[in-house]
Parts: sequence; C-alpha cells; structure tokens
Amino acid sequence: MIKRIALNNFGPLAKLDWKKLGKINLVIGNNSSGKTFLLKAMYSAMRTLEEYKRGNDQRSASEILVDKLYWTFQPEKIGDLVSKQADSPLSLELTLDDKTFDYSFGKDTTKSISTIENHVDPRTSNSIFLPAKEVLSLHSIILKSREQDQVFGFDDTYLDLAKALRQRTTSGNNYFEFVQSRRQLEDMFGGKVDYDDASGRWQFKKGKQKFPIGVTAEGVKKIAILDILLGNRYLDENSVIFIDELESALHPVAISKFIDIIAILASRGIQFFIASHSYFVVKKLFLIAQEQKLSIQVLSYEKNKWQQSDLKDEMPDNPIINESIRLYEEEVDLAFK
Amino acid sequence: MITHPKNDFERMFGPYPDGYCFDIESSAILKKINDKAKQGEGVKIAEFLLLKTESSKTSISIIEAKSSAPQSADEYIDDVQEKLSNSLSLFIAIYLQRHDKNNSELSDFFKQTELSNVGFILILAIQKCEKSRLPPLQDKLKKALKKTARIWNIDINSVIVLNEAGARKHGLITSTATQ
Repeated sequence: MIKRIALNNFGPLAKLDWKKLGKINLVIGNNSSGKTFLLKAMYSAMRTLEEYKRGNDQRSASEILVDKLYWTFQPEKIGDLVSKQADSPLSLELTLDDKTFDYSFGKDTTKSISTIENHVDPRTSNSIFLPAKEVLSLHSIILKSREQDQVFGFDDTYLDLAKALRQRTTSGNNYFEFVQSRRQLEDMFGGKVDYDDASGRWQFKKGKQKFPIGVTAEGVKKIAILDILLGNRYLDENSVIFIDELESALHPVAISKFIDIIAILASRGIQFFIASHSYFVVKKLFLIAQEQKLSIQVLSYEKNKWQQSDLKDEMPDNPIINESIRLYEEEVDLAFK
Repeated sequence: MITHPKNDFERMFGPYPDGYCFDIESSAILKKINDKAKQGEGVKIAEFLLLKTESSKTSISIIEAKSSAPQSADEYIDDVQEKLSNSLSLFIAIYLQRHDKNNSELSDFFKQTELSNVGFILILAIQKCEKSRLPPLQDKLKKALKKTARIWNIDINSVIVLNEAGARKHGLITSTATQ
C-alpha cells in the first residue's frame, strides 16, 4: 500500500507531501489544480515498480521510468515536466509499505534519470488508471495508435488500460469481495459487457439481448471496465486503482453505488486514489468514513495550497462544499426577499 | 419573545414589536384542542408565527426551533413537517374564527392581514448545526413539505432551514446575548 507521496516541482505541483495514506484516498480541487497530474505521477511510479524485473524484462528502473513518464505525460522531453518557475529539480518520493522509491531530475533531462533510488521489492500485482472517459469504444483505436503507429494522443494510462482489458475473463475462484463487487457492478445496469471473439468487438449483454458497445451508455461502459478487470484477474488484492473524475458519466445514484463497491474492494486490500469535483463523491465518502470509522485522507486545493484532512474527522473546507453552501444561502436569501 | 420557552435557544428569539409575534405553541386554543385529545394524539405544533410588513411583501414566518441537528434525519424531518403543517392550518383556522368568534388571541396586525396575498415562510431553526449540514436538511424538508406547499400555494423556496447564525442574519434573533 502506498503510505506517502511527496513531490517537488512536478508540473503544476510545486510542493506536496501527502502522508498517512489509507485504502481510499481522495483528491479534490478546481480545474487545473493538478489533480490528474498527481494521479498520473503516482501511477507512472507504480507502473515503473511493477514492470521492473517482471519476467525477462532487462530494463533498468531508470529506463522504465523515463519511458513511463514520456508516454504518460507526452512532453517533448521529460525535463519539460519540471515546473516552469522552479530553480531546483523535480523530485518524487513514494513510500510503498515501508520501502521508498525516489527520483529527481532537472529541466535539461531528455532520456536518462541518474538520481533514482529504489528499495521496493519487485511487485507481481498490477495497478491501473481509470481515466475520466471510458475506453471500450476506442479500444482497438488506442491499441493501434500506440502499438502500431507509436504516436502521441492516447497516453500510457489509456494504453495500459486497453492492454489490461485484452486479457480474457477467467472462471474459477476469485476473492469473495471481487465476486460480490462484480455482481453488484453488473446489477447496477442489469447486464454485462463482454468481448465477442467472433466479431472482435465489445458488446453489452442484457438478458438475451446484445448491444454494440457504440450504443451502450457511457456510465455502463465505465462501470464495466472495473468489472472486466476484476474478472480477468488483472487486479488483485495488492493493486492500486487510480480513478480520475469518478463521477463523469454517472448518475448520482450510480456514483453512490460505485463508491459502495469501492469500499468493499478496499476492505479486501485494493488501494484507491480518486480525483473528483463532485459533491456526491465527497459526501458519500464522508458517510462511509463515518459509518465504518474508516480513515479516508483528502487532499484538497484551497487558497493556492494543498491541504490534507481526514473524512473520518470532518468534511473538508473546500470549493465543492462551499459552493453547495453558497447555493443554499442564495436560496435562503431568496425566501426573505 | 416566546411566552414559555422550553430551552435556551427558544429564549433567544426576538425581541419583536408588540403584536407581530403569535406564540401558537402557548395559545389557549391549542391547549383546548390538546386537552380533549388522548395521550399521544395531541396536535404537534411549531413555536411561533412572526408577521413582517416592512418589506414590499407582507410575510408570515412559521418557526420551529430545535437545539440540535438530528441523529435520524427521517424521524426528525417528519416531526418538523408535521409541526409546520399543523401550525399553518391551525393559524388559518384561528384567523377564520373557526374556534373563537372574537379571535381574541390574534393581534390586530394579524387580524388585519389579508391572507390571500401574504407570503408564508416555513422555517426550521437549529441552534447547533454546521453550515455544511444545512443544505441537505433543507432539501429534505422541502421534499417533506411539498404537498403542503402545493395545497396552500406556497413557494417551495420559502421552506428553509437555518442555524443560529442564519436566524440572526435574517432578523429572527436580534438580541446580542448568546446563551
């Protein structure tokens, strides 16, 4: 489990030290505050650790990291990831369980990171990044664009997800919580998404009816992605799931159910990092933290700095909550006018 | 301004100009109604009604005051909804002289108010409630009072939930003393 992440001069993130991380962690902030950037920085570090020494891969951690940063952020050179105003290098330090992985590099860096230190044992588990947009309808396009054409456009979070979805669902024993979650995910939309080998396309099956993925609702596809990854064993109890804009394409009721499933999976061991703008997401996680006496760390961007709080203790003071209060006050003022 | 305040919070309301507050909870008519009722079957009622004539539109606020926010929102809101609805009905029944031909309990200001045009504001005031808890409670109370609002043609935006600070801001509490 990731216990701490500290970044300096990483794109829009000038200085950040997020500690005491738990099974479910939330990042909130307005547009362009750097939420997605943070999740991607963490994801590229995790994938570096997961690809390092896997199978017969001979690449050094530095080579994998350069590759992950280049294809995840798609800058001209990775030195461009260093904050524009910074005088000192970009650095990242991640503590996984009790072991650290850290690196740093300056603005002129192109293809090699010399300052890198890794004390984390090789991992067999996979982490995944679920982008705001679903990928099932673009599945083959993502794979072609990256694997054949090798062009920028779809970053590594999309490519890794598209590759992970390629793995076929297997039957047999799975963790009880995974089976329970899959059942609930499929219940949410009364069907499931499967890959049809004959046509080479994804399709949504509801009872005896089959629908092409193109006409399937965005929310269904989004939920289906997690269902597939739990079914095809890409994810296990040590996986870390990064979810960008969890609420996108989901109805508030679906958001709530989705978060209930996340809580079940977290109880099995999966760690979640969720970026959100949604009042419903914050509120639902607050209720889970209160009901289960569960620590849910929140990183919120307020008044030009990052603040850390715990939903077990309080609802954080942040623009999302403040806007709901502002609307409430507007409504009350209207009554007395 | 409440004749028989049950707690410190109720004691904070007002002061209001004479004749502009009707303490419905302490009214003789309510007592008479409830004296006839069996145990547990009495009419639940809000604290008081406040008449305002100074703005462009005359309004009557019906106020239910609670010291703290709910543990169980459903029961709490049901209780508040019942009290506010009953208070509205009972006030109009009194105004129409259904109980007392002289309407001796209502001040002349209330008696002279033309009810067809008055704006009713249904208010739940909670002394100790974090601001962030007010919007969902207000939404829940609006939902619970939807039918009452429709029946009496009351703007649903006139169903509001305030904490002590909000009650001060909107002139329900004007004294500076805090409990």
